[in-house]
Amino acid sequence: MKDQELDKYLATLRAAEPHAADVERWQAAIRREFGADRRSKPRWMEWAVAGLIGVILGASLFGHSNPPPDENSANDATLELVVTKLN
Amino acid sequence: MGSRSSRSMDIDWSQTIADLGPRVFRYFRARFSHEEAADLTQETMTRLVRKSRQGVIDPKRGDLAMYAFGIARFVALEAKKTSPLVLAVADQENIMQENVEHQQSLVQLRQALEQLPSDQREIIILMIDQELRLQDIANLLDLPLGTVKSHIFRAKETLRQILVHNQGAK
Repeated sequence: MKDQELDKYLATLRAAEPHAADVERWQAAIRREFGADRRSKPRWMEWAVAGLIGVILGASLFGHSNPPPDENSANDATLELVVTKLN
Repeated sequence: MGSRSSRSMDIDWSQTIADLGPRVFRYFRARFSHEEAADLTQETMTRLVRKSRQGVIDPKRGDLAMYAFGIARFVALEAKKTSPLVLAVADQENIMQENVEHQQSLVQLRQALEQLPSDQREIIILMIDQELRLQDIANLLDLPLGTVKSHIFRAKETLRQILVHNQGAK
């Protein structure tokens, strides 16, 4: 047997084609499992999540820069006590 | 992670499946019936999309076909464990319906392929896809290019002997 004959055998395997219905079935299976849209989430959802994280981070940073009102009240009370004792 | 998965979501999977599916199908068809090959192709494509969505593979950094054939090899291995028969009943029925001579050569070649050592058989089956270069096959199998070439030489010799022997036996 020559190389050409062997190639002829291999060509029979290369000629194998799926049916159009097979390809449609594969595509449908992917759509079913992963959704019809190429993107699983719309872009506005990504922006909304990023914005929310920004607001939370900003609020926590801003919150630390100002002492809470309770702390001011405590300082006022301490000052009042010291002034009373001095008097 | 986020950017990797968003890149994978930009792929038109319907078109990718239409292009890549038939190539993967031919890989399976060398050893399985039409129905089995179609099912295994679907399994391969599903795993490909899943891995891409999970960011396990990055289609922008490598040829998607290489990833697909890499997955197909494992899917074929799993399927062979559960379904060792080369020709299913449905395939025998197809032989009756389609071109008899063509199908007979297909059956002979598949029987011969099953008699090859597994490393040689794998290379020959991957060579069915004419878009895969020898270097791609070497990368897929994690073998040096020279080893792949020598496996091809030996596989062709063995195939030739098996086919001549089988023809003589008839």
